[in-house]
Amino acid sequence: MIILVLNCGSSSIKYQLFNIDNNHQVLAKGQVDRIGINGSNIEQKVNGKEPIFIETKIDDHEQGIDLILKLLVDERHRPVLSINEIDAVGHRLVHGGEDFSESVIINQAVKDKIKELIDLAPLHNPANLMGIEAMERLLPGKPQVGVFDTAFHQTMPPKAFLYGIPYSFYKKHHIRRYGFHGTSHKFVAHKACEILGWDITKKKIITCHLGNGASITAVDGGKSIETSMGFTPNYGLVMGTRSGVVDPGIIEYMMKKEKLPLSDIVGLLNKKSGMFGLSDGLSSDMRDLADAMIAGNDDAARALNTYAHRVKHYIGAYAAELNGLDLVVMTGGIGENNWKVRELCLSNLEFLGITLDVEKNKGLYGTDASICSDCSRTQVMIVQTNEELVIASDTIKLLKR
Amino acid sequence: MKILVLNCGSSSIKFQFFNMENQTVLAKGLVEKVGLNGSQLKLNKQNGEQVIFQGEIVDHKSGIEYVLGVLTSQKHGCIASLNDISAVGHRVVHGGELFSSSVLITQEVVNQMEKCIDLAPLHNPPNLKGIEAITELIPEVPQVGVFDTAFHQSMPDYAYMYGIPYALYKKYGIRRYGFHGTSHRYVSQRACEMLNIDFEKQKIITCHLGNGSSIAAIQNGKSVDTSMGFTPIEGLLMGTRAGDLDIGAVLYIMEKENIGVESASALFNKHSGLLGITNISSDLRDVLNAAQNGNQQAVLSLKMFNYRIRKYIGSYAAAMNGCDLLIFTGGIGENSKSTRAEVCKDLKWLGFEIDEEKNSSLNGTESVISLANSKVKVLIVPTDEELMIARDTQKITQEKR
Repeated sequence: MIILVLNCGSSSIKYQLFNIDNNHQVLAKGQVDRIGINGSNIEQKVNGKEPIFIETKIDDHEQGIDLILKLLVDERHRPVLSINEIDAVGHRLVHGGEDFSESVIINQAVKDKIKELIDLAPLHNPANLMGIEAMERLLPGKPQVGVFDTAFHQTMPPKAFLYGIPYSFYKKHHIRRYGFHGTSHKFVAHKACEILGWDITKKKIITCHLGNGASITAVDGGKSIETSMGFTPNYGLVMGTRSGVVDPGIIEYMMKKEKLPLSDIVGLLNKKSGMFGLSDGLSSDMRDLADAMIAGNDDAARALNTYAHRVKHYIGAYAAELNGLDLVVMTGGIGENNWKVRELCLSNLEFLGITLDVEKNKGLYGTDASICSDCSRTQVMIVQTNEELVIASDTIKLLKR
Repeated sequence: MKILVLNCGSSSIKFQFFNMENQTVLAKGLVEKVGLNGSQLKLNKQNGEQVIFQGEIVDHKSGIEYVLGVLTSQKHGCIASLNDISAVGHRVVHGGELFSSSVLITQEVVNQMEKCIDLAPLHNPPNLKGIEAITELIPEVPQVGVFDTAFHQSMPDYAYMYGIPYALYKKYGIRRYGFHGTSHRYVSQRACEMLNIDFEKQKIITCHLGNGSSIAAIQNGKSVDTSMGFTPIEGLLMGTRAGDLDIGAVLYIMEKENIGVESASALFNKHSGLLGITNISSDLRDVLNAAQNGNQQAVLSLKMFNYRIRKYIGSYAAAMNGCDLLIFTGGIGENSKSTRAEVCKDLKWLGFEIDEEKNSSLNGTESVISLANSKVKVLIVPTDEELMIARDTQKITQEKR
């Protein structure tokens, strides 16, 4: 079976084409960028062949997807002979609110729900919907499956997902912790257990998805019991340009001092904060910051130490709630590839049973591996995440039902 | 040596008068409704008698004048003349980054305290009024300022920085300050005295749980982290304060409810927390009663309350890579055995094991309540901020001589 996986953002579409029968082989992958903006383009890669890059006017998601379908049968790459070979489409969907706790086959009722949830994810859900509707027109009759970023976290108990604000705001406006990156947290937790030969239903796991966006999840017996992102993705850890946890009291103070309207404060906390802000504008890229810290730069050191401190806070908090800890998993672009960040986050945690093997960890990237010393009570692993693969697998699973 | 301790609020003045030779309280009381109708002075005499004086008290100066008059009155007083007051200690809320310990008050100190007004616009002005009144009324008596924030000034930058542009910290001092410092310092030192162990060599977590609540991590005698932040709203779930909250949720509520930043601030400070979740009361005792009578919102709010405390305990144990002592204090921490029991339940993996029997029978008293073999010792230590202020005042004024 051939599955096309789509991840439609507000101005981009990432895609991968899987041949499920051939060991989940990736036949092609690519990205449409700058939809509706000057310089819109598409790039596609197929193993062993020259990438195709086309810069052309792409006004909307439908044009973007149309272009993807054309490139998939382009004779230079030709991962499939005809787009009719595509059996189904799997979509990454950002926000499923409280309505979706697992992946679903998309029908009118599902689309209506996603529309209802636009308020909760005003940037993402509309783009996701455009992708679904474009596909309906371009590949009519092909089944589509939705895989939600929030679904895995729907098992959180109320004490973990409620904020300390009047309960009526939860009832009326659905304000609560939702959490994101669910597909990744679920995948790496399962994958690590598979590698270790463990039964996930008996294990206490903390998964750290550290990328440009970052979150940590406590997984008890295979279920998410809490995660660090909240009502929005700007909660919890310090991220590339997002602040993560701040005292809500600073809003009023900042508005008064900087004489900025609320919308500018929001922009500032999402786009100018995080590692970029903490390092005094040095960089939002962890590789740059890690290099600078090693070279003795104080701004980089402050930013990275703050980052690691927050990670430790969450690991400790979740170990307490799990009342134990069998495994810590590092994943995401930073978790998989930046040894310095892993070292800062995971050293001096022997009290929690974590003993990092500093030498083994050093320089390790792009591989699944254990990085704790033999005496560590808690296992520590790097696992490469693969959200697209989960989406393809979920799509197949639902179609076979 | 006799020391008067003052805690001046916006419309109240709390006072305690100590004989430092045996650290006993000779008199204590409260001036209420300063500058309002129905102002009065309540005096609790050493013999247990309470006397209420009614009369017009137009400002802090006349309130303090009243206090001094009562202390020296033939009928209700405890000293012959004002010359018997050796020094006055003031509780001051915010010392910003300028004060990391208690100080002898001079004109220069007053000038510096004025610079901190922006950070605590409700609290610092009445504190200053108290100082000014004493300066005018008994100018020759030395005064000492004891700051709520001072103890936490030892936090490392990675614990006090938020993930916001560094310029906002440099320009406006937006960072974590923390509060209740005098209480965290008192109970942690007192616990070490009780156990006859070296304060400078312990890893301690102190839970000050009252109407306002905060937790501190104290390593080698120094505060290294605390849950309140730039303002007292951050951290734990409190009587009427929200505690940790996604800023995205704050902005969403402001937009949906069409309220400004001041109303939002009032909402998260005065109508949230236990009160917001239960709609019953901000007082934990009322909430506990309601929960016993089967009120589901009350049950939920208690779970949230305890859960947040547990998470901070885990976070700080991780940040310090260990924990030797866990201390409960404040109205709730000292007197709610169910809070202590629920917080410590299922934390055995981290080394916390409470003795249920001791936890009940020793409620409200200075005591060790963990099992003999618990790796972490758990204690109840009733706080005494006034005594701490008196001790600091004595020490500093004696050093001056």
